[in-house]
Amino acid sequence: MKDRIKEIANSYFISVTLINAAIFATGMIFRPEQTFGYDAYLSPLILGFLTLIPTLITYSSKELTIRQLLFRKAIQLLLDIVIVIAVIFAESEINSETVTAAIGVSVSIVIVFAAVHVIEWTLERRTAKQLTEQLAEFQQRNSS
Amino acid sequence: MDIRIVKIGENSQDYIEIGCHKTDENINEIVSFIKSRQGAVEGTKNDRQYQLPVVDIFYIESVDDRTFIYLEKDCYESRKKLYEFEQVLASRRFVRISKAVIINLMKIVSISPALNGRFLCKLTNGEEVIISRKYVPDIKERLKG
Repeated sequence: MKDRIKEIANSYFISVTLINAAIFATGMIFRPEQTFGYDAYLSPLILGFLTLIPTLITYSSKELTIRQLLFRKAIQLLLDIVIVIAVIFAESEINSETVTAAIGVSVSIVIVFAAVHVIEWTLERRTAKQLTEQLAEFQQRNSS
Repeated sequence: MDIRIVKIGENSQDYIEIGCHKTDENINEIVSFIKSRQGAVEGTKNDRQYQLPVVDIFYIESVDDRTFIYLEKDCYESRKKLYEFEQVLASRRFVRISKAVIINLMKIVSISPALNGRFLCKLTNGEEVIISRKYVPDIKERLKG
């Protein structure tokens, strides 16, 4: 459980940082003239939290195979897109400008989602490398 | 057949070396005997019981309340539960890597990241087995010791 919380916290802070970058990029493209108050600083934190909820779908008491996990990750991404679009455009009128913006936001969610996993994978690769080195030493010590 | 016993330094590991022209039945028998002296577990395959040398076991898996012992190419079933194997093999370079698997650390070639904080270990026979994130600290501890 402790490891799971640590992992979720890691994922949250990486997501918040990347959401910030995504808001900057999509904002500059679609509404560069827009200005915000201090409350705007809360949106990456809230969006980061909301996108954590679908991670529950990847939890299983049984060990999932890579294929099962990939399938659940795809659903998680889909839910992330639905939640974020619903929150951002809840009070907006549906017109061509909103649809274009929603597509832009969706693309940025996919990019953030992929980037979070790439960063996590890179961190895990370091752990895997350490484990492989420790394993080689262990095998050398215990080889008969 | 000439038998030689060579004394080695205290820092070196004990070893047995067999010099032969070819690996025939006699040689395999000697090897099986030596391996069985290092411990063996009972396994069943096609209604026949076998003594499986512990050093030849790659991993032991529990699936739907049944326990399977995997060797390089073959798979045997056992009546023992996974936790019983865990207790018996704890001192034999075996470690739990997930809820359902105990692995022989001597059979792992490399470890690589998998999705969701899990790892994938590649075995010497080319098989890949998943390590749950929950068991990573225990594995690290075991490798240090």
